Amino acid sequence: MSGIEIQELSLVYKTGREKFLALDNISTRIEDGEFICVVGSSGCGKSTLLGVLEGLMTPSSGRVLIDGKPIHGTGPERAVVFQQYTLFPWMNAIQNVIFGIKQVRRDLSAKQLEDTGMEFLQKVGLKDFMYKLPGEMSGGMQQRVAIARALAVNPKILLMDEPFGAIDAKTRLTLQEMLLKLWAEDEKKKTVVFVTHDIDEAILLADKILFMAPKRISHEIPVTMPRPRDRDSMYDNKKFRDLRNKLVILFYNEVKEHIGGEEVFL
Amino acid sequence: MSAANKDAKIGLPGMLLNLPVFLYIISAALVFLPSRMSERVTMSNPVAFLFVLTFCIVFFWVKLGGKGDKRQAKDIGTVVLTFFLLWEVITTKLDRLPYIFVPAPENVFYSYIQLWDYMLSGLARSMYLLLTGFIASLVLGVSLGIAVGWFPRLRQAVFPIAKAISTVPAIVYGPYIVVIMPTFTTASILVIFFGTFWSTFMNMINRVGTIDARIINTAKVLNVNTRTMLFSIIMPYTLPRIINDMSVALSISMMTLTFAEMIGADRGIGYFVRRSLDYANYTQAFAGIFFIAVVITVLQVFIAVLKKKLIKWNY
Ligand SMILES: Nc1ncnc2c1ncn2[C@@H]1O[C@H](COP(=O)(O)OP(=O)(O)OP(=O)(O)O)[C@@H](O)[C@H]1O
Ligand SMILES: [Mg+2]
Repeated sequence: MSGIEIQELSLVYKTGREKFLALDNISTRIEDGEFICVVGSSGCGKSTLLGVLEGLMTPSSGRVLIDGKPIHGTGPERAVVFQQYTLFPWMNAIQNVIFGIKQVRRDLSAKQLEDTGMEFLQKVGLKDFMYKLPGEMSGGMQQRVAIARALAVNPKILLMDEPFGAIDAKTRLTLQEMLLKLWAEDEKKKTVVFVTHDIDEAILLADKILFMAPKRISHEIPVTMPRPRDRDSMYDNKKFRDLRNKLVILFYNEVKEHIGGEEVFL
Repeated sequence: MSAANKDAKIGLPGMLLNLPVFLYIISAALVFLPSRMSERVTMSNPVAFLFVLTFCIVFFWVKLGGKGDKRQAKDIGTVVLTFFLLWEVITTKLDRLPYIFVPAPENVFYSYIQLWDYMLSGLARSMYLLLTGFIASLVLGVSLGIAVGWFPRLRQAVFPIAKAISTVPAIVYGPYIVVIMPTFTTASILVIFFGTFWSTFMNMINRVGTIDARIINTAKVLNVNTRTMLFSIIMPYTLPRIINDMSVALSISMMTLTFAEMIGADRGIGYFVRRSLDYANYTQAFAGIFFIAVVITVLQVFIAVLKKKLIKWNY
């Protein structure tokens, strides 16, 4: 069976004597080539869920299958883009990209590595910044390099935890568009799991939105609007507005529950 | 460094009309005036002293014409040349101090011309001991520290022990090592090695344990193997601090070396100073001490250059 399957997944954080249940018996399926956005209020367990998919965290019970096989730790079929500080500061842009490729493709020559590195930096629009160190680049540029590095290993699955969370609104739009374009241009689309708490971002990007209440996925909401989606005309679309309202209400109720069911004015 | 300092081009008048140059001219002229000390002591040829003075002023000009802070260059040049001028005046010219204990600069620097082959072979010998012990300690301390630091259980067991041992200076058990080792060479290399090994090792374990989790996670999701993690990620990540600690470690090594040479050597620059002191030849002792200072400075400059070459990023 292909795709990602999450089966009865629970995760408990232990700090000293204290235990905290962060994920409570989550089960879901993600099809190959789907673009999934995970949304939910802060602290509901989005990063934890992604951490399990990345292989950086071991579930307390349950498991994750990729193409029918349970995962143990990280794997070359998955690539990750974190929110911040994801480049190695002593390597320039192309060295960062090449370093990623080298870990999974030991057979490539230096020339081939260089060419692939260049190709992917070109895709994210950084051809002229190949030899810049991360410290000499803006946050947006650094995230572009991180995306190039993730894509360059040709993973089946791309895991992104608020990759644009620390980026200004305007740059964010460009990066969303770029990501969508790169995702759409593949013959065999990558499966993307993208964590965000920006509702508009989720609707623009996703095939399906997983809405997390604390510790679990409370709603799976398909986004049926046709692609390519255009941010400007999207706001005039009734489907978009309905979906957006629905999500805002979910968020709102979520917050209300969080603070004990009292009336809140946002 | 201010922008004004950087842009200001120093012309020929700027190069010549300043305090260090003035002091240089006075000192150099004084050398040729009659000396009172020569009534009691045989004065050596001043050529070596003149050379040192000239070297100072040339070095000053290089700094003044360079990109660095010009005021600092002038201040340092003034202090150094004032020192030489006072030294020359108080000893050679006026003979105000007991000549046995405070030798004349002419004589001190002339020692290098008289004894250059002896001093150079002593230097070679000392550098051999110093660099062998220091480099071995650096390489082993860093690589073992990285390896031990990477495995939490090993780290938790070894760190407190290394920390406890590192508080005991190697020169405390140095004499014991000299007794048990077959030759003085192996003994002093070992003492120099232990002089910095434990602290390098301990610092490295600590650094690996406290390294930014995001760097480690990024490397993990790129599927690096353990060797790549240790030597392509953790090593470069900690390199700036390794190099920073190197200059401290080098000074400690030099101290340990001098100590070792004072207890059992039959050559080397530390031995040269000790023997000169034993024979109350303070002229040579001064020469030896200057020499050691210059050697350490050169090594430290080398480390600074290394750092500049290797570290182009800041974190
Ligand atoms: N290492 C940890 N030890 C103990 N508790 C933790 C740890 N990491 C996270 N938690 C807790 O687990 C819960 C889920 O955290 P998680 O980081 O997954 O939230 P999130 O949905 O990603 O939030 P955000 O939107 O703020 O990033 C939070 O309540 C958090 O306090
Ligand atoms: Mg998070």
